[in-house]
Amino acid sequence: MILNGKCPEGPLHEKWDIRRHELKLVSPANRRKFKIIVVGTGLAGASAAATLGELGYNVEAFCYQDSARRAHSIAAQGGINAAKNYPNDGDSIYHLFYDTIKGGDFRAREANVYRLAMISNNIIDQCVAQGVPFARDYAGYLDNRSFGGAQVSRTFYARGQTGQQLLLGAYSALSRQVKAGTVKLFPRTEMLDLVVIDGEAKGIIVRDLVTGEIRAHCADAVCLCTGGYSNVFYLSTNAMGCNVTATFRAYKKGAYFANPCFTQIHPTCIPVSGDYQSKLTLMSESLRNDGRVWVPKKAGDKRPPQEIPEDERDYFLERKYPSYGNLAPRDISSRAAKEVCDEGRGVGPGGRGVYLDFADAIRRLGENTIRQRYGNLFEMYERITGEDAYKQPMRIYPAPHYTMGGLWVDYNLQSNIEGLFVLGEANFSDHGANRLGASALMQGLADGYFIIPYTIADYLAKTKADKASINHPEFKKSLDAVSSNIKRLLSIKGKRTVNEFHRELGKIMWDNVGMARSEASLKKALAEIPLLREDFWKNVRVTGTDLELNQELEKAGRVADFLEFAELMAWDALHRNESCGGHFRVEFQMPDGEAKRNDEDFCYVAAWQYKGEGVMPELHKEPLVFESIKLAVRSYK
Amino acid sequence: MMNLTLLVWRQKNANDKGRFEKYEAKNINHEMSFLEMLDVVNEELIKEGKEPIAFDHDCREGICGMCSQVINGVPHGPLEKTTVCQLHMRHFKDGDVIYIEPWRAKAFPIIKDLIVDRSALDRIIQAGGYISVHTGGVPDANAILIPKEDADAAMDAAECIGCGACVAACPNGSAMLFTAAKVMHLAKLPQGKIEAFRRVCLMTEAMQKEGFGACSNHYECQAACPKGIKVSFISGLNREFIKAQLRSK
Amino acid sequence: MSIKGFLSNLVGKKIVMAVTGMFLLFFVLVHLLGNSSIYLGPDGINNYTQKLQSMPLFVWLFRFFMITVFIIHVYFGFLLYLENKNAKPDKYAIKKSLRATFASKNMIWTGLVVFGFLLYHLLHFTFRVISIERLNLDFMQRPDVYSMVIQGMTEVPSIVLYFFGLLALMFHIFHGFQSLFQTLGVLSEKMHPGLINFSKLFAFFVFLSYSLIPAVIIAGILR
Ligand SMILES: Cc1cc2nc3c(=O)[nH]c(=O)nc-3n(C[C@H](O)[C@H](O)[C@H](O)COP(=O)(O)OP(=O)(O)OC[C@H]3O[C@@H](n4cnc5c(N)ncnc54)[C@H](O)[C@@H]3O)c2cc1C
Ligand code: HEM
Ligand code: HEM
Ligand code: SF4
Ligand code: F3S
Ligand code: FES
Repeated sequence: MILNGKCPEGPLHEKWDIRRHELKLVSPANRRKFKIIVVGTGLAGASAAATLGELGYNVEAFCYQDSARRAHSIAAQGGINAAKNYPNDGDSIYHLFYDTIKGGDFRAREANVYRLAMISNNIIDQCVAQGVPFARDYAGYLDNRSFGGAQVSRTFYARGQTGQQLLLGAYSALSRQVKAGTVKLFPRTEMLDLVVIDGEAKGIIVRDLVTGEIRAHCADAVCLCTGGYSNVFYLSTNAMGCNVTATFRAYKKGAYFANPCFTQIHPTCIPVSGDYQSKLTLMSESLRNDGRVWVPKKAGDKRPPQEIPEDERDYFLERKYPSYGNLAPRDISSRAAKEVCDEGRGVGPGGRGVYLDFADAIRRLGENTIRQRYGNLFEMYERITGEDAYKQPMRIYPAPHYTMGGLWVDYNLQSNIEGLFVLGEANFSDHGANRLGASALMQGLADGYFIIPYTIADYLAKTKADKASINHPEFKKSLDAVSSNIKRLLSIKGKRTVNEFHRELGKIMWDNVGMARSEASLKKALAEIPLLREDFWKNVRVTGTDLELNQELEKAGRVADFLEFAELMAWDALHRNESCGGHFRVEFQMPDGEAKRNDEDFCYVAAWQYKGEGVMPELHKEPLVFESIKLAVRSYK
Repeated sequence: MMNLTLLVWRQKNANDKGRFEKYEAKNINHEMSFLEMLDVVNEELIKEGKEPIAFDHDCREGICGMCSQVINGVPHGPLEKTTVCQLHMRHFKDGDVIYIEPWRAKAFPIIKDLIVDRSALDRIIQAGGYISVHTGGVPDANAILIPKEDADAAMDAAECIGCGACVAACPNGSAMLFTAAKVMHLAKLPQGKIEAFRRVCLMTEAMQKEGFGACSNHYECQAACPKGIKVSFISGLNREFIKAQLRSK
Repeated sequence: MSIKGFLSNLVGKKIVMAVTGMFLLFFVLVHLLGNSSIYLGPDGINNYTQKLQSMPLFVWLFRFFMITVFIIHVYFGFLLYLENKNAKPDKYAIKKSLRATFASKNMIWTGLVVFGFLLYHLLHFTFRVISIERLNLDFMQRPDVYSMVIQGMTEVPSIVLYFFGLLALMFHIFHGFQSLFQTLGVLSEKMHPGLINFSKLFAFFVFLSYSLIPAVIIAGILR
């Protein structure tokens, strides 16, 4: 089937206005009759729930953490983009739009990205009004820094904690609505199924993570804002609880999953130190503003970095990409680092690392300036590695970080299931095959504050309030399915722990569906994943019972979904016979090793429809049309 | 590699009395984080068919504020300005005996083992820890200039991750440092000043209602705070409170 | 906020403690100054007492004020102590104090010892029901406080009680002095460490200066 993104007609810069005129409104008196479920309280979820509550809708918001403030958006360090052009360095909405489209290797929808760039400015205004303490200069004006993939300074930041500050802003708006009684919060509650009645999303099934109670919640519309699925790799920069469960179970209920193979590997993470490792820590990309990336020229050079003379160092990013240098986009930088390590020139234990060196910057700007800019990141590095990065270069290595893929949505952020809206990292919409730094925060907040309030009204205006009831047989069916799944997990009582399975899955994915993929590796993964899944359902050991707080049970449910989802990712990667952005197929590369896109055959969004466990899903294509820009080879040289 | 003896607080649920259980942690690598060490212990327990130790955690990079353990009498363990998830085993020695307990305070009832219910902190924020701004229709971000010192001071306060270690450390079970951080973050900004007086009254009232103690200026909280939030913010909250009283009379 | 709201607010209660504590501290200093007149011999302190007695209205107003302040301080002290204890019902198996001091953790106990001391002290020197039968007049027909103090300070049980009373007062002030500035919101981050040190010095000074009187008497310098 050919999918339609339902973008409005008209000139690029007027599309959003045109759409807003077309969209129906709900009168204030009617709003309180509608109930909206928002799953997730990250930037996307919290901003959506707060805004919808403020408008007068009846909102129920869910998250698995003990507080809405702890969603993983809190971990974003670097910053958030906006086309304010405060530094007057030539930025504009169009530039931000173009950089984002190009950064995504021309696999995103033009109209969406342009809207995002337009809204970016409102986001900064909104956050400042909420009390987000962005960095400022001595005259009291907002400060900007530059970020990967851009030649202008358009990134707003709050020390190394931009995500936290933005989330606290959204969380405070949410708290205000909780007090006003429009939003009801359900922390420590996990969504385990989506309920679809006559093709419309009408509710969810959740498990109360404290009591273990399985409950149904019905509503007139459902917003999924449940973040990304990087944890399919086991080790990633995501929080331990990040999962694909919410989106995957919606997928099983008929929502299309788009571009699952588009995953981003972040170049600047702290390398793995041993096999007990439970997660990887990101060092903000902003470090690349002042740090220089290098490895020794000779393979197997074991000298300490200080003893390697300048002319025996290979500043490979500066060498390969002279105009962007150390600020080349993430996918390119990550792959370059992997390449030099594959050549045996990697540093640190296991040879899986490259240096990020601040010696030059310290010489040029003084240690104090560096301390001011990155003090907390250096501290974090020292805490984890025990090394002092003011004295010796940091060691970094790429790690799974962000997932561009997600549930398919149209321009209105509605999935193919009516009434199911998907926001933030959980949808696929704005970043194409690769996301530029500082643009995910922007997208989450754009979706939640400024897009969903308009588009959801249009849907609600067409439906009748209170149609849904948890007495509907579909709810009962879902409840039973969820309960029996849990019973099944608990009844296996095998020999292996959930973590063991997750680790093993992660290894399969990282080795075969990771930074570089080939037909052979993907087929290998597709052979191994079902076997592992089978073993899981025979051999997993889940301790405890269902009617209590049971963290093993939570993990087991999530890993079970990853074990199915991994296959979908591999299928998608295998079908996409091109390299683009974060999806690098070794068969498709330029002579110089750059990604070779195939616009002829793959200039589309791949949206997959579930057809049963282990069964090849059905592919639907949404062709990407570029009206305003020309497809170009992405070059950062 | 090292071997450790752990004495861990185990409590099945809120009604259970709870007690310490002894575990041996074997072959612990120095590079592991404290939580990774517990993961290793838990894997062993599961294999023996026993219930693993329940503990809160999520980001494991010191920012979400979810992890919450009192280690040898210090919330978040012996290293200053560090959360449990960022505490690495290189700070322990072979043969160490380690007591691991949950946050303890009346306002933080224990849910299971090392997991406590910190929703009281959320309710303090809900009482008034926000600026009452609507989405949209706000002035340009640079329309109101903010002196760098104020912006920096607000940011210092805003760094609080809401972990509750201050409450765990405070002999009075007071949430004063947490509340002060939020009050001062907003009071330092021109946007937040307008509601400052109302806010400080509402938030301190909520704090009392939730069963937190008052501040006797023990300063334990600052020492335990993983983000180094300063008790001078408590002084700032008191000042805001007094100003609010003088204003309303 | 209403008065009732203020007094039930946990910051409000602390402000009451700080303000009353400040007046009590003020009294401690004034009394110290008054007592110091003893170094001038009988002429000094007896004169001082006579002067005071010639202004009964002022003295009674002052006494009334101080008693009220004292009662409020004690009442809220107990209230806070109970509330704070209630907010932390379960103790840790091990608890390491990182910043809290012996003084800060025992305010209620040092306060109570001071209270006990004061009772004794009033019975001793004001109501004179302990050991001193009656206050004689000196050769200039002034109340002979001087001789009374000299006599009072040569009895071993009294000396011991005074010592512990002053010790408790020292610890109370040790924490209380800087604490009151923090509570009243005048402490900035910069002043904080300095004031904590000053508070200790100040408490020690109060202890030493008060102790000097019995010490000098025991040493036989004043007789
Ligand atoms: C370490 C790190 C650094 C980053 N730095 C930057 C940066 O500098 N700039 C930038 O633009 N982007 C950055 N990103 C990316 C960005 O932070 C995320 O993409 C974005 O915050 C995602 O927001 P979200 O609201 O979509 O999801 P999240 O913030 O992940 O929120 C997901 C929510 O869904 C809930 N949830 C999930 N599953 C369920 C379920 N089954 N049931 C109930 N609730 C559920 C969770 O509880 C949570 O509340 C970074 C990401 C990471 C990991
Ligand atoms: C001359 C006698 C006294 C002086 C000079 C004095 C002074 C002070 C001062 C300055 C404080 C600090 C207030 C603050 O933190 O803001 C204080 C606190 C306190 N005082 Fe006193 N006090 C005296 C007697 C007493 C007595 C008799 C009691 C009780 C029985 C008492 C109980 C307390 C308590 C419990 C506190 C701590 C309150 C808290 O921080 O929660 N004090 N005192
Ligand atoms: C060595 C130390 C002290 C000496 C020698 C001393 C001496 C005296 C004397 C002589 C009087 C009686 C005066 C009179 O009745 O005319 C008196 C009264 C009093 N003293 Fe002290 N004192 C000492 C310490 C203290 C301390 C530490 C406190 C309080 C914390 C204190 C509180 C009082 C009070 C409340 C009175 C009653 C005042 C009045 O009647 O109005 N004294 N003291
Ligand atoms: S003030 Fe510090 S200790 Fe308290 S909640 Fe905030 S970060 Fe945690
Ligand atoms: S430890 Fe407690 S008493 Fe006050 S200064 Fe900190 S809240
Ligand atoms: S797990 Fe997030 S702060 Fe420790």
